[in-house]
Amino acid sequence: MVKKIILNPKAISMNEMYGYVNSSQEWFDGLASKVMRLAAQETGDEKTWVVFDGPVDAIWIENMNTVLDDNMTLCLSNGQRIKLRKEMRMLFEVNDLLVASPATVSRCGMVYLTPEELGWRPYVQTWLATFFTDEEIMTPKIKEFLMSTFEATVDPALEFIRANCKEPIKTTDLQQVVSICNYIEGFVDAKKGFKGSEEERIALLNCIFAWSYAWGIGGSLDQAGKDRFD
Amino acid sequence: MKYYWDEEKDDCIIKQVSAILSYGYEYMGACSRLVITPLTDRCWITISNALHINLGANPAGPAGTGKTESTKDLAKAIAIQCIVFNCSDQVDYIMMGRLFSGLCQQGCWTCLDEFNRILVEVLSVVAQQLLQVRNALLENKTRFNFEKDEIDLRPEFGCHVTMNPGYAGRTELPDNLKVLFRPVAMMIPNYGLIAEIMLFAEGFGSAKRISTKMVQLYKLSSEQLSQQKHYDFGLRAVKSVLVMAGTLKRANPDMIEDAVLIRAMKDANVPKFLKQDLPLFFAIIQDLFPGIEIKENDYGKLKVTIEKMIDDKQLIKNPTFVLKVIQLFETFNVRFGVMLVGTTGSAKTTSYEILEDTMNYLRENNYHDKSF
Repeated sequence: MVKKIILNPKAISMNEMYGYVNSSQEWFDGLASKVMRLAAQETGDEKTWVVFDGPVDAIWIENMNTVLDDNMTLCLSNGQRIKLRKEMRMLFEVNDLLVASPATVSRCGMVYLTPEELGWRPYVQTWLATFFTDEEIMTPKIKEFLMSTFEATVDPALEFIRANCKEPIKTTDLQQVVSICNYIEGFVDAKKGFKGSEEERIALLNCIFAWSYAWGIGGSLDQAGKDRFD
Repeated sequence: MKYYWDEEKDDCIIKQVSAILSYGYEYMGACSRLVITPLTDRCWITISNALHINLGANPAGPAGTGKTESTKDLAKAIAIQCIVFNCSDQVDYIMMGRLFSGLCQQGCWTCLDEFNRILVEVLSVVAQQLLQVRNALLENKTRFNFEKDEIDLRPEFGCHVTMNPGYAGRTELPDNLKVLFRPVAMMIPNYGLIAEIMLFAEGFGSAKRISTKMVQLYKLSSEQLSQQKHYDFGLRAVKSVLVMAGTLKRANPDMIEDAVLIRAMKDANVPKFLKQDLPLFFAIIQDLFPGIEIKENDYGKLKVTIEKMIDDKQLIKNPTFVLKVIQLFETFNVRFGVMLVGTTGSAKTTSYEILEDTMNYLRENNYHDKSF
């Protein structure tokens, strides 16, 4: 069985991560050292993945240099060395490697995921399939209508804002689509007046979509960009 | 480097250039050894001759040139235990003192990795400690005063440090420490020789011919593909391909050797490439191995299960996503540390969660393959 332990390395200080010796020479164990020690003590062929979900920099990850190469040992600052089992794996989930040193990069296997290849369609499809389960609100026909509206409108707008507008805070295409979906989620509710026959609902949804679309994609632009997007 | 039996001492000794070292008799077990290249030899001569005058050696150079591995391998060759310790800026002089005192009493080596990450103020105390040990070694003492305590000293003691000069978060060594180490620069490993011998050891008959091509491929890839921070065509990457090729070769003994190697190189490199670099990479392969057909890999049960898991989570079976999960699995098989690189929303978390579910599912259904 695979067991995974997820931790965010940047949320805690280096001392909390790898442990430290205080001024009276007492040892305090850190989070990563504790996790790895427990994982190393396991027996049998249990697989353990330690997932580091957070940006990589030259400081915290260099402590793991001996972990990642053939030595497979975690060295702590009190001189302790933890020998890891070969069933364990270290997984790093990172945005980019701009500040990682070549020493780290050469030690790890890389899998590069491009957002363009996945696109936003799988997200919308899953969202449609899982969020609206109530037939009262969404019938397959309405879902189809909504999907086709997405298909028709999202790509040109994304292209337009990427080429012509500036964002004070950078976003990715998927984020914009997620915010459209979130807006729609908020409005599509029987209590808020989303009811009636199928045709009425489609008409209503069309208006909701237009509003969500404008704010979902245009919301992150600066004022000049908002005017142009209008 | 040669081994002699000294009749007078009734002991085994090892001679290299002017250095004479005694054999350590430490049991290492049956472990793999390095490929000896001219660079390894140069490093060994430096280390053994530094030990002869009671100094340590200091191999320096970029990542993945075999600094630590060469040191460890020499320790294996003369059967002395070598403790590899990864230094960091949290290391203090008290801890280093403890380490050295243990090494003196046991008579073993240490290889301090990334030595120049230690803070300068700690380094100067370390220099003092090493000088105490060296003076005692020069006087052939068996007991000496180290940091207020009197401890045993065995003549096999050795302290070697490796470092990457010029990387982020590294300091320059103080001069009083520099004089205690003999430097050796290790810049470019002999890829050709290493690839050839390792391929031969993995059971490839035409190792010489295909190793040249493989090295050429790596050279061309590092020159022609786009410059990305996460691309690395160093020795570690080459080694993981060689190991992968060996596994593939044993699994399909009848496959043409060129095809085995191509498949290994493809599996190891394609996961990390950007979309625009893929055609370039395949063009290089086609140029180097003309006329060899590269078949699409068959993942069988793995792929089916991944698709089932995606369905269970009510996600969409995107073919590139399925492929990425498979690539993640294969990278897990050859590497201890794996990085998933991608911007927000590129399905990093989902891909490893799917892989976890897949492996658990296959394990529960008694699918007999150790790797799950």
